[in-house]
Amino acid sequence: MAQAAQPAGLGVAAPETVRARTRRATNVALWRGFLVVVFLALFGPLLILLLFAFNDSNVLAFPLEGFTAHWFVDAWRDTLLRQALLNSFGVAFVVAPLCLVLGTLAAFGLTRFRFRGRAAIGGLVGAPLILPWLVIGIAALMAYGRLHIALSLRTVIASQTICTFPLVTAIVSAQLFRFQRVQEEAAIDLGCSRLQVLRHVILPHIAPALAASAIFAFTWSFNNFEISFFTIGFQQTFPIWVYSSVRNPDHTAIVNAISIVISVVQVGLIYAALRLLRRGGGDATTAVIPAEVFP
Amino acid sequence: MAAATTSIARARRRSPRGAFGILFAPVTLLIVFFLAPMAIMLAMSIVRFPPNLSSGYTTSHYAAVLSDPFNLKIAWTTLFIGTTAMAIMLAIALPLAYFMVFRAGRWELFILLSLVLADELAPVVKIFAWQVILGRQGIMNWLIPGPPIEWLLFSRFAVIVTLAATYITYTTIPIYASMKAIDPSMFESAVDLGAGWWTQARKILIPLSAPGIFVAMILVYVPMLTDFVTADIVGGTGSYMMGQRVRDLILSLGDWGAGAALNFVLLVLALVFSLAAYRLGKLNRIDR
Amino acid sequence: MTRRAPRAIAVLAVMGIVAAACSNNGSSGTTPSGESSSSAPTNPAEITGTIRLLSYTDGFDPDYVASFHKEYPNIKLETAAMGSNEEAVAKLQAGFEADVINSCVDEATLEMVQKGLYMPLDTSRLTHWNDLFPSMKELTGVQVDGKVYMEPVDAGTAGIVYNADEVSPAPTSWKDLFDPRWQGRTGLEDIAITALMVGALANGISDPLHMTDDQLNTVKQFMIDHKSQFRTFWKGDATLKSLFKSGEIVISSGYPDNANSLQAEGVNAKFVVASEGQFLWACGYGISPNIDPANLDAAYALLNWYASPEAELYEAATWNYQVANQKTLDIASADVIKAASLEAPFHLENAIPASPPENREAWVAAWNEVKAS
Repeated sequence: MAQAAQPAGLGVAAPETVRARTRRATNVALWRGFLVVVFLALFGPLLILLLFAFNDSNVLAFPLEGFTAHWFVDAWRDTLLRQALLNSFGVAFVVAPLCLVLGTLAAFGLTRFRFRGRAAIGGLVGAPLILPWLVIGIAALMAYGRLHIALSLRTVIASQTICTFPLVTAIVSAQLFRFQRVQEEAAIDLGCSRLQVLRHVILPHIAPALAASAIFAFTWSFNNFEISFFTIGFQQTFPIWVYSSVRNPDHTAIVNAISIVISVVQVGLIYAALRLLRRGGGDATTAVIPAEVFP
Repeated sequence: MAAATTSIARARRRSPRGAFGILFAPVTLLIVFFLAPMAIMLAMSIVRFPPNLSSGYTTSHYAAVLSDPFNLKIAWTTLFIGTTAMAIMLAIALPLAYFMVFRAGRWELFILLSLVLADELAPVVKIFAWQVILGRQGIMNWLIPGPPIEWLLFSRFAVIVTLAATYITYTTIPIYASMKAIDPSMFESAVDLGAGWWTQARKILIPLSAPGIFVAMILVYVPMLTDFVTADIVGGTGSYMMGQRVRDLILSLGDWGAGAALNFVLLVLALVFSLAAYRLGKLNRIDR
Repeated sequence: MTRRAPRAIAVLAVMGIVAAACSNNGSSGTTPSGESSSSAPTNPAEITGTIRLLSYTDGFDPDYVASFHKEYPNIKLETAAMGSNEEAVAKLQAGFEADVINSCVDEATLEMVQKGLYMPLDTSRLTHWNDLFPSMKELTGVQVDGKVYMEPVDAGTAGIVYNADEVSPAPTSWKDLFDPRWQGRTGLEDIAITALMVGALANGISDPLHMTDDQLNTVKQFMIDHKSQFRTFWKGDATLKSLFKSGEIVISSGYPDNANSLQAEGVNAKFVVASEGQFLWACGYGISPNIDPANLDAAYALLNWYASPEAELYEAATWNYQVANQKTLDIASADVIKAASLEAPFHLENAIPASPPENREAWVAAWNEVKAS
């Protein structure tokens, strides 16, 4: 994995003639234009939501009716919404640690050992990531129904965990994989027990991946819609509340306002996650990629 | 020295049992909460009167699902929309990833962060914002002179655009990762040998990022095909997709047999596709 | 048909909401107006239990149920929303558990009775039973084989909502929804019965509820052929409002309170009854046979509250629903009586009775085919 010290890539050879300079200028302009379009497509919708969060109307349509911030106050006062947020946080706080533990165990198991059936187990672990969540959600609904397990936050937690811990496995195993066993073996040579090796050599090394995984798992759980949609009972999580409330005419603007607030919080979290990944090593930014394809 | 060698050897010999111990929890949970539901769903699709599992076996649900002309039409529509969106995303992700790796310099992390954020923030609600962008009195029509363009919203176009904007992040990231593995000196050599930018792209950039492209497709293509929220919100009357069909079979028609059968068919297709893409990705990789 | 709620499944445990009730006067909710039940405790504060309510979202609108919580502070209400009766039936049959279930006569009430999803009600425990309009009590599915399974609570009509600034002269018929002038600017609610009913009436079928299979196929084909007439099939009043306000549609099927709330948003929308007939919807609540007997008192308390004049008045005043309890007229203002046509439920002109078609499942399948094609 090379990190270019200065931008390199497909380029034009020197020397700089006038024609070359114009070509370069066009090049730059084209790139800038491209980036602007991409960023507009990415963030346009969010900006629109921001705009309408302050619009004095319950309908998401032009013309604008006037500036107001009362939707934020209404959002704060809405007890159903508060409960939905609490549920989402609660579920995520349970799911994230579970995923960390399960995901790391799986990562260790898959990268550290050679055994028959390793590919199959690897496929099984990766399956929830590649199979559509619609399929998984419906299968879960049928299973819970057939086994007469009442749908509730517990079923949501169970199904979300299964679908999210493979992400942790992917991130952690990518980092584990690049880890040089030499350090580990040196520690053993120096007389460390396996537990000490784990605590003092391995864990610090994968700490960035663990932290990033925790944050991603938390966010995935919080944002999760498809799985929760099919496995939830008489409670609501935040995305479910959003989905149902946007269609409720009295709630449309409140949904906007609270989405903006949640977004701001998530910005902070994700920024922290990527910062940690960066600190873990120059190649840590690619640690989000499933390691299976890049042995 | 001898002691250390023995302990390492001992560790290696301990491998299979060690693996079992460590993997026990995740694998068991996967079996209980993932494989078992799949099995139950399969069972639902082959019994005569689901959810009554003792009502005898039948393949009629599969026959009904696979021969129903509406399902075929829906499949066609879904493939059209999904493949177009995938192609558009690849066309955008490749230059974007290239820019991030080779041209962005200190902006690289910022762009990566923006990509991730744009995906994580305000899910579902974002899609409603596209109604404001593409609508008759929306932003696009305000920018474009002339009478309002109808087919921007509540059309297949709207679904394709919205899907592309939604899934671009996880399309770009794997490609970006594989491009980071490319040694830039290859491009310098190519330039020295007189290759223009298109040749370089064709012969070096794309083949070397092929693994990333395939990972992107695995992560994104099938979820897009089974997406039901987007088509619900911006699709209008002419873009009914497979995800909606499965959901309606189960939640509206209460036809668990057909719903389970269709679901299982989707599952198999997803597996086949992922395996194929994975194999192809491996084949294309230049061994280091 | 009640205010069409979104397809969300979940709801929220509302714990201990104590809000100012709109109009509740003490514990009048449990004052029996006829026979009194021997087993119902007379002090509402003594009734305890947890009720899982599956209903359209207006059934547990926070401002609406505030008075319920004030009157029965010790009953805990857990709620889940249903997108449609079909969805509720599908989920209940799959094992989803609920205690009190909302259904609409024109949709799935009878089906729920037939599928054993409702238990027979003891009318002596329904304190307002004798005050209900007789015509409400005779709706299909409310009483089957001499037993009462569902207590009707509200009703209303569906007609044409249109933007008076754009559509003139005013529409008078369901055929106007298919007028080529409004191609691509028409809306239609995404509910099988309503949508196919519109198609049937627009095709001159005078008794749509008793359509033959051939007629149903014709209507289905007609709808498929004219799909491009519709901008989109909407679900939920919020979607309808935003479609009108953003100019995406100018005419659609809809409900009287849609026009009112659009006026408040600055859109000159009006509601009009179609000449071929306006359809009536009527909804109410029943109790699941699987309810834990310990919660039965609480379930009856909820049903009694829904049918109480005060709760009914809220519906009439806020959403212009018609009500089942005749005593509501005593406490309603003249404006509300007029706006919600409280005096004459079902005695409206050209009313197509709130009743499900016999081959309801065929209708649902047909509508799904229209959407899929």
